[in-house]
Amino acid sequence: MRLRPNLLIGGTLLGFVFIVAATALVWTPYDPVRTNLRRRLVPPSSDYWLGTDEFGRDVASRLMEGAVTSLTVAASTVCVALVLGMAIGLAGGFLRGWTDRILGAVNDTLLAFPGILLALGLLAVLGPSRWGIVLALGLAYAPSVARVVRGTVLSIREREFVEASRALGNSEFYTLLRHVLPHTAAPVIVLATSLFGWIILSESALSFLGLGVPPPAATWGNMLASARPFMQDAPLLSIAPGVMIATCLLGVNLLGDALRDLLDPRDGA
Amino acid sequence: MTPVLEVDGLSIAAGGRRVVDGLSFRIAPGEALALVGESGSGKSATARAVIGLLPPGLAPDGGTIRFEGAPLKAGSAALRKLRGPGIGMVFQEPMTSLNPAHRIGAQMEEGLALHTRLNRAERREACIAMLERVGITDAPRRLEAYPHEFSGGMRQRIMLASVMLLRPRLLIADEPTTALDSLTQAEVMDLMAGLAREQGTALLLITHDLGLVARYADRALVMQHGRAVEEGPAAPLLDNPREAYTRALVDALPRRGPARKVPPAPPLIEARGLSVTYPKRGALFRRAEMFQAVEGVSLAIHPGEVVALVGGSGSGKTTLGRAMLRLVPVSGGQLLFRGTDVTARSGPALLDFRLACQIVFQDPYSSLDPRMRVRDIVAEPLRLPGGMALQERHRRAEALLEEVGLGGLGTRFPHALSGGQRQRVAIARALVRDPAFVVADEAVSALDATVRKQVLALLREQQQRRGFACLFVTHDLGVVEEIADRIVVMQHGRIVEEGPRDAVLDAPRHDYTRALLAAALRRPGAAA
Amino acid sequence: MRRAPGVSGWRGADVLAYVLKRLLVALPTLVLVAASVFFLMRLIPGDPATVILGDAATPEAVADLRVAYGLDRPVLVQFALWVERALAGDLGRSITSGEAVGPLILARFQVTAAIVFASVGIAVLLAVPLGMLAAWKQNSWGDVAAVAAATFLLSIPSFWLGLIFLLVFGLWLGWVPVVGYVTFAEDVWGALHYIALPVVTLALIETGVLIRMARASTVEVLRLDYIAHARAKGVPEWRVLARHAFPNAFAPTLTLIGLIMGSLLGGIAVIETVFTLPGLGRLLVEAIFARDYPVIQGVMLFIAVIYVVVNLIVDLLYPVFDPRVTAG
Repeated sequence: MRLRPNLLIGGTLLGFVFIVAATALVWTPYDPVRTNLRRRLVPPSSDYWLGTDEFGRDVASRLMEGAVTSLTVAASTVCVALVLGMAIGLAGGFLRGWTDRILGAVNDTLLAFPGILLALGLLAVLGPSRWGIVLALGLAYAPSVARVVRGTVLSIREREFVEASRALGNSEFYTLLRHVLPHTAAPVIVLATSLFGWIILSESALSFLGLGVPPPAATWGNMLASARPFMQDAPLLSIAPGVMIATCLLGVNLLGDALRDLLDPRDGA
Repeated sequence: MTPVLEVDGLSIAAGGRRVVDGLSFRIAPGEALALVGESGSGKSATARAVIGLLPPGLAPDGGTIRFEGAPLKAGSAALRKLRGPGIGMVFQEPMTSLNPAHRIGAQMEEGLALHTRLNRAERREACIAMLERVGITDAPRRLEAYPHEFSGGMRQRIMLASVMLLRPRLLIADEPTTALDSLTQAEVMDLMAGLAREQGTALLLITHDLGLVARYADRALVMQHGRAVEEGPAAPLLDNPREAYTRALVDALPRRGPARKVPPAPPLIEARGLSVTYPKRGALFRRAEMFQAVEGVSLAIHPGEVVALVGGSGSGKTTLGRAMLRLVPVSGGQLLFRGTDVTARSGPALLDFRLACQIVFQDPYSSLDPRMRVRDIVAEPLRLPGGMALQERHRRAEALLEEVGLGGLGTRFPHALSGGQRQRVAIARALVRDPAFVVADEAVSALDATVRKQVLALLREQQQRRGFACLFVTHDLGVVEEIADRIVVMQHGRIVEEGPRDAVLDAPRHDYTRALLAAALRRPGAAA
Repeated sequence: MRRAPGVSGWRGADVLAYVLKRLLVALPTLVLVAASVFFLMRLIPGDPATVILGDAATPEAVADLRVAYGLDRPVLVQFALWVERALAGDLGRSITSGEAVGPLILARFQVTAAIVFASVGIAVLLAVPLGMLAAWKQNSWGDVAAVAAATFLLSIPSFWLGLIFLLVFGLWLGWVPVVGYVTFAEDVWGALHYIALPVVTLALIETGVLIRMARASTVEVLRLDYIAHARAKGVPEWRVLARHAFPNAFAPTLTLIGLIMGSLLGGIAVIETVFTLPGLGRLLVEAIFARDYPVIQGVMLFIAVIYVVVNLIVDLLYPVFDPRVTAG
């Protein structure tokens, strides 16, 4: 196998973020939400590695806490989107006919909204909260999953080995389960990776707007938003959370590319 | 006289491995040389190297190529100027070798505009004349059409026309007709040979098919693993091959098998006035038109009989084969199996029929589920009669794999097998339940000649041992010589001729059968 | 079955049928989009009249509004009435400011449109040639660098890049104003100053996506036989690229441009927040905070319709680069 720098670098970057989050579950230098107004906007030091914010909270601890928030929100959202999207996509691709037409029309309508706009609309209804975000983004991105799953099912169905299975006398249901369903795994895995990235980005954008995970809980997005007024005096407050988001996204994107290469049969030859 | 092309010690490397190794040959003006070999022999790489268009990953690794005495350097301006008026090339895949975004007139004209001083009107004139020469009617209007509006055979003619417009001194044809059915293949090859003769063009024909060599080449060079095996005038080389590999290739050409007597019995499966219609796609404001793929065909197949169903593309033969297995919806007529009507059966009643019938598809790359191991693929049909333990199923699958020459490969995935091996897997899957009736849909068309020979032999051996009836669907009359007892010829969804094999091959009554026979690439001398 | 060429005669008929078909498909999509916006707002707990008027409203006012907006009629009738009014440009009034929503949206859209179209335009001009050249020189150092840079760019959150730019060019270098906005009508040069940073920010990030797409589709095209055929005809390399490779590779990129416009319009709020621009996205977010439902509804509908129209235009342009799509 040839060296895959994408896999290596992507894995390292994402691994770093995961380790930071895992550490934060058991230990952070300070309590990420405890304020200390006497120590506001302290520059980085050996006590406060990345300084403190406008409420005197330790930035490093909050970044670590933010990693937990971002990763858990993204993972739960991906699950919601996958479960919903797979259900709709499989139902459409398997049953075809009127079921598919109706599901297809609904799905195409939802796809006619940019994902983040749909999430904004849903948040307007649900109100900002951690689970509101998960539900809104999950619903917003489920249609893309549904489309990929349905498309894969419909194209695999046309392959000769599926016809061969029918010729053997296998029932339609068995054929779909045994010969069609497993083939949706590869595209779904690749898509789930991209989704993970989009959702990290969307969640931090929504939190930045104040529509995401509400304070005082730390997220990279709301840290950026509250850092804005102090940009000149404490630029690190604005830089650090962005670096974390970018690290995470770069890791996801590189890993996604590597996965696509690995799972693409054309490249395997 | 200076040869048109002189290749001396040519080597081509692909990442450290040599795909062509010290190859030398020459072509005299107006001469036709065939480079013959099976997949992986390096013949296509050689062709690409001559015109300096090696695909990424392949690189020249020594040797010289001279065109009319002058050395060709890859990437040089001199070589680029020669492309077109000096050396023309026709590619294998007609579906991708024309640019889908440009009208064919513009594409044909492009070369003329680059290499001649003709003005616009003269160029158009030349294009029309050439299109008419390659048998495309209504040429002025067709110039305005896009490639996707033409069939594969038509596109290959257009390709040929656009290359020959520039009157090249050397034409490289890389498997130019492999993607076409035999009838179209003969037409395109005849055109190519005719044009080359008219213009005095030398031909470098790359092919895996010895049948083409016999008919269209003056000399042949047989290649294996990147090296020359044998070279010489085409006819003697095919009649008296000196090297073992050449002999194996020649032996792989279809040879008529012994005539068999099938004991009389009531038909196993019988189509009575069977019709299949498809809706045509694409009509927006009109009601969908129906397309009749099979029109009222009656055909009876007896136990243990091998019937070849022959026809060109669009003749309806594939559809009929599928309809006889109830794999496509039947729109009219009856299908009888062992005397009972199965046309409208469904559910468990249909299952009985399915258990007794099987199919082997053309393309072993797509007919096997890439996510299953070979043993599981072969064992899968045994799941359905029910009551057989998994271990027993696997045992039987392994035993049959052994029988078809794939012993010990049961735990592999299909992608780890060669094309021939995959087709053996497909055959094993079809036979594991001991069916009474098997449809083989172009089952050997995608294989190299020597492999095809072996797979055909396997099919015949299994047929004789197990005694199933077989409907062998193919476009190539040559292939059916080997194994058919009876031949049925289809055209436009109807049967136009049927009879015992020897009668149809030796004394065809219908014009279409005669045309198919003339196009078939059969053993030299075996043709009537 | 393949239609015999030339039999249908006029090729324009194919193109016309294709255009009509696309238009016909877009219509039901628009209706469904309107319906989902309408019913999404109905999901809000509580009586719409109270929601619209706020908690402090008198019962009489609520009753009046119910009649005025037809809220006492069946829900499908309400939807029909709403669509009818929306088609006439009446999207209701803002709860907080009392302004008519339609004109409000149009005014704010000018800002958003300027940023979105300018950034997409710059990104396309920059990224598409770059991606195509990278594909032509596949696996060269330049190619590897272009792909790495693109991947890096698309991994940067736009709002963060915007903040950094503000920090560097606004606060430290003082080249551009940090807050505020003037319209083009008031002061063209000034307006350019205000939108320069947001446009550059978005353009850079879209460049990342587009380079990768343009490169990938060009790589696909370059390995097709018709490229080899063109070279085998002696066509010079620049012409092989300019006439045969690049235009054909552009078709999938065109689709992506439509998608990018959509996600930009949907996510424009963050960038407008960073640069304090009075655009459509900012309007939407403020309305969400204020629970100003007529505005939320109007903005969502407006953006979705724009998105549908952009995709429609993309589809209609597609046959220019790939005539096969008109074949049905």
